[in-house]
Amino acid sequence: MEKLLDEKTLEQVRDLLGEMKGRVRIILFEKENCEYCDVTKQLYTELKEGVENIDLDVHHIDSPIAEEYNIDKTLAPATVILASNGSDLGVRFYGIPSGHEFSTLLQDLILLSKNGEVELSEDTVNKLKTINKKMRLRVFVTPTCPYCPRAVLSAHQAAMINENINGEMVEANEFYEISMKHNVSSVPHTVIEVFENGEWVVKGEFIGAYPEPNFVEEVLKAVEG
Amino acid sequence: MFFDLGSSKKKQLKEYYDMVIIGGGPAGVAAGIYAVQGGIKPLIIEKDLDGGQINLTEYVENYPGFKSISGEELAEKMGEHAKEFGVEFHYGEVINVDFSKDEKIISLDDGSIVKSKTVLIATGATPRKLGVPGEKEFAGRGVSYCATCDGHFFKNQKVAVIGGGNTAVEEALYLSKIAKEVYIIHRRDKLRADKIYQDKAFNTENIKFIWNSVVKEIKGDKKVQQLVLENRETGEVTNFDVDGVFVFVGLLPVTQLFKDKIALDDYGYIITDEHRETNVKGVFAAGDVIQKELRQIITAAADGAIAASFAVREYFN
Repeated sequence: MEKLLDEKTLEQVRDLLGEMKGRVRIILFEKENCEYCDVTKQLYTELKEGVENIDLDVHHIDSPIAEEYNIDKTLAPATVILASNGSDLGVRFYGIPSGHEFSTLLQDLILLSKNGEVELSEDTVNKLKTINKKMRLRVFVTPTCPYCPRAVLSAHQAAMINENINGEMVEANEFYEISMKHNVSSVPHTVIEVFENGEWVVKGEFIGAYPEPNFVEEVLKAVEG
Repeated sequence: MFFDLGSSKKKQLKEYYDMVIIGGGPAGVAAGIYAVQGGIKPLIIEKDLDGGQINLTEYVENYPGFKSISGEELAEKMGEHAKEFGVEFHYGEVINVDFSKDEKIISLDDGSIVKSKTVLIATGATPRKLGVPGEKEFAGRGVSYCATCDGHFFKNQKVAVIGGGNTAVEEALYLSKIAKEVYIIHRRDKLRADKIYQDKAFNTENIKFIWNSVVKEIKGDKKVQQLVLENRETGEVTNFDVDGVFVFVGLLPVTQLFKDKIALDDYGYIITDEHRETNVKGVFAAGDVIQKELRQIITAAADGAIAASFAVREYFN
């Protein structure tokens, strides 16, 4: 297959990821008859081979390991990235992180190499730390959306600072059903869910990439509601 | 498939910069380059992507030196150019400014604060809303302002594009490759867009036109289903079935933060002099956000250059 990242791009990626402080592990869950699984695997393989500090595991989405990480089995390719100390901080990608979302992936690799040392204000961190309910922030995106990386990065960073929170990118083009279920037709579209009585319940949603204080406000409002 | 590398390496923000540039579109980038060239230290604060609104354009075909270039690529090149020149970038959103003293103070959403001798506002513009019932309710439910972002949700469906200017027609052309049918609904009996775009649109089979009509209401159940249209000639009101509606009826300047701090015109655009300086000394503005005739990439870049080179001469030499 033709390379996804040419040598010049890879050179720039190496330069950007020079900031990484330790090794991180990308875990990809794939399955058969999956339009974007192979290309996602190829992307990660090229990163692993071209850049230092990246390990890659590939599993079937029906494997027990997927259960360990609470992967949504209907959404392959699914990606978990572990911090350099091996912990799972709740960062998920459903679908390929291509287009503008590739930048989100790179930022995540850097932050997770520092074990989730986020770049949020102290106030934001303190507020998000108070959340004691299991919740997930699903950010629906398209690869061509320039506003989306900021929304995904907010969700991912929230996940990094609070173990109760999962932050998930969902590539809307690849997952029609779930996008329709949430009536997604403009991105970024963030759906905030809380785990109650054994199931995920939608508690809030917002469209657009919000500045930090407003993002926190939306999340906290959803937790209380 | 493309792979955007995004923001450059994070650097610790300094306390002070000679010039803080708010917005990393063509105006901000050009100003950054001219500032460095003039020997001062600028900081560009960008909330999303280098290149700003250029990222929303499929192809740019009127910027000298590039016969046809994708918006993403031109945006990326501009960012790269400035960075290689030594312009510092920071990614975040400005949430407050204080221009009351000689030293200007800029507060960001991540809690950081920077000070500067001069400021350049290059925050650009966002799509203007129609202001009709149903628009707010169905935002993200079939009402969209970004074809690049949301076009693919309407694969093989029927969409309407509201407006008749360059953006409306360009976006209709983009959508015509995804949607089954695209209806351009325009308040006049002819398009305002440049001839080259008009010709392309008239020659695209699945682009159709509804003239002399305005949207009175957007209706639907969970999602947009219908537009209520009024013909301005006959006064006739009809319902028009659609799956989605893309609104491109002009721009709104992003000047909310600067209200009561610098002079704006009645539409919210920043008023500047020939040097692109506002009524507050040391505060400049450039690009789509200022009051002017032509809002294009090239005029934005020109504004940025004019502002930065004057700032260097006036405040630093």
